[in-house]
Amino acid sequence: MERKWDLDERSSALVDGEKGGLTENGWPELLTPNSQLPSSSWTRGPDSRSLDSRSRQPLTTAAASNHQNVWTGSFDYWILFPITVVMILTGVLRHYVTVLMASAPKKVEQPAVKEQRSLIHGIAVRSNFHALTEPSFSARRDALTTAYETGAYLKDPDRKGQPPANPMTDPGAMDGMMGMMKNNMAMIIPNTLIMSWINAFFSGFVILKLPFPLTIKFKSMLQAGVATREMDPRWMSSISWYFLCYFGLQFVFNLLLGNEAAASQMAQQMQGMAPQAPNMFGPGVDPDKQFQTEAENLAVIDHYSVLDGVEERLLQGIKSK
Amino acid sequence: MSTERELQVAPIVPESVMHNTKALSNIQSLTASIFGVAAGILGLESYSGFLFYLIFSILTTMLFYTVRVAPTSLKSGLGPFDTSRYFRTQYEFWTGGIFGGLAGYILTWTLFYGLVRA
Repeated sequence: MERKWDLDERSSALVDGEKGGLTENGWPELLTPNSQLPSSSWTRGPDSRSLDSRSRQPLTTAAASNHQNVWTGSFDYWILFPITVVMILTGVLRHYVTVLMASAPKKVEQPAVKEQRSLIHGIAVRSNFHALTEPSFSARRDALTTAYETGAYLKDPDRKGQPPANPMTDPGAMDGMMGMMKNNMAMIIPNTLIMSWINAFFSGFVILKLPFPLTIKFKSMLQAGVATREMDPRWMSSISWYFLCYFGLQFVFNLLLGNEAAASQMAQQMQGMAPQAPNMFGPGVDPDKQFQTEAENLAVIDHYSVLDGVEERLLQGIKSK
Repeated sequence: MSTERELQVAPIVPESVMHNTKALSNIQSLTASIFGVAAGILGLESYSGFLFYLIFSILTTMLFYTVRVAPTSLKSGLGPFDTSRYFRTQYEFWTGGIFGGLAGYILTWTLFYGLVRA
């Protein structure tokens, strides 16, 4: 088998294909490089296309290290499929871990529930006012505004006007943070583990060729751990296959876990990137201020009903038929 | 009559919008990965591969429109290629899936390109 390499001479070693066969157990044999190297197999040139994809890249991580073990044969299946299978299984496992770890909703004190629900009531009245008739809307508005302004719905009316308690001292707030931490942990731990696993086992192997060209800037990203300077950036190492799996396996989870689970996984992935929306009832929010704002919002509504002019609309609909 | 009041007279059900969007994105991501397999086996490279994806994902959306959307939407008096009966925006319907399925497409494309050519 003729092999051509356009690699720098100081870069990693290569081995003639005929010397390295599979051992009895099917694993590629480990060979010591530079020992049985026919010098004719070195060709240097800028044309990376001479790099036949059939000759798998027996590259090693550290070009400087003296004892490099080099795989030959089509070992890429031993890297590609483990990584892919592990990624899929981790996704499934992560889903079930999050399901199991989800703590049951904590029992909330009755005044606290009253505080939250009354605020939601106000928001519902404000956003659906058009479904109410004029008198029933103004009755609701008057009742809610008075109660909001006097602080009748507050959890502890004595604390009205005082600054909110430090969220760190509130045990309820700590619970919410713990839940967030747990979710993040379920995300971070498997990723770190898999990445270190890939780095420990498969680092330095060039396993796949991307079907589209990339600029040289991608080289450091795709070929991390492969210390060759002149290799085409289209060749990618095992860690970049991991990243490709990380972003592209969404459809597999769609199939395996159903839509909602996959959507939640996507949301979790996004969570790391985008800042979270502020929690409405989160720690550190002054409920009294929220009530005042809501009372103002209710007061400025210019009421109309969807049933205004419904007779004309009905007659028009009948006439046009 | 303002558009806000029109929406209040004939409100949009969020559950239905969610369901429709989900059905569309589901078929897009699944077909995208299958197109990736096809492109990898065909050995397409660079621009031809992306062009392949673009053409076939638009074709999928067209088929989705003709099979699922068009029959009732045309009957209800909407013009051709008007998806407003089932989807909120035209943009979301026609181009949303192209970006949603791209990651899966590149994954399977790369995988099968590597496996077949190796």
